[in-house]
Amino acid sequence: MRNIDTALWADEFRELLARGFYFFDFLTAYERDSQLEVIARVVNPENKQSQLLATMIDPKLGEVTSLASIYLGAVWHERETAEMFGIYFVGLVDDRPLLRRSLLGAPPMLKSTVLAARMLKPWPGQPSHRKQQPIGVVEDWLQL
Amino acid sequence: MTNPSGIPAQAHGVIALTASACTSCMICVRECPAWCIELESHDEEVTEPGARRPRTVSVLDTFTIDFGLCMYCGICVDVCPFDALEWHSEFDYAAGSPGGLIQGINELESWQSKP
Repeated sequence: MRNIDTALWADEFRELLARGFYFFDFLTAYERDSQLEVIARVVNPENKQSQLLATMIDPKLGEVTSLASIYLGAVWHERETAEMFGIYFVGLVDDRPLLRRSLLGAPPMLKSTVLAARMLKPWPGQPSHRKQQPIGVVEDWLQL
Repeated sequence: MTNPSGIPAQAHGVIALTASACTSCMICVRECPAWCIELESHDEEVTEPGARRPRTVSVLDTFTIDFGLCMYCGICVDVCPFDALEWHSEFDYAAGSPGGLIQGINELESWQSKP
């Protein structure tokens, strides 16, 4: 995986497309040490080579240039990544929610977001004689 | 190894329980990311011949997996220190009502005897 400067993200893919990497495989995000990283993979179907690229998103800006004008297939992945991680893709025209009903509320894939189901249901693993924190739930997790 | 339908025996179809192997240690319940396993147990004193004092053992009362919540990741099968949970390739157990995918000890044990 190659790490790319966020400012050069789109340029890098434009160059890869020119080099024959015309198949857009996927784009997603990953929360690494409470910072968001956008990851994308493109393939050159002629020689079966692939490129996996990543860029760290500046937490203050929370945005990256959209690849939609370079790869049409990137739209679906960017719409999904935008609504799930709250990343803004600059230049992505189609910003309709894909899987969520609306974009209100916290992005569900962030580790800081506590799912409603986790607040409504008591943790079945809670020991009877001491308090224990369930795995994957933030520290100030509120139990209704 | 495959079963008669050609599905590998270790396919993530359903999770089978061997209740006699379960010590109610709760590791599967705590590790499950979907919170779909619940179990209840109580302690019983067992006096073994020749032992100086009785031993306390946990006895399993209820064990349920809600396959409506389960994401078939297999973490519970992996973490069980006593191999009480096991994958079974059976997948045909759809339910027609809410809660119909919640399986208790009897249902989870029944998968063991299936081919």
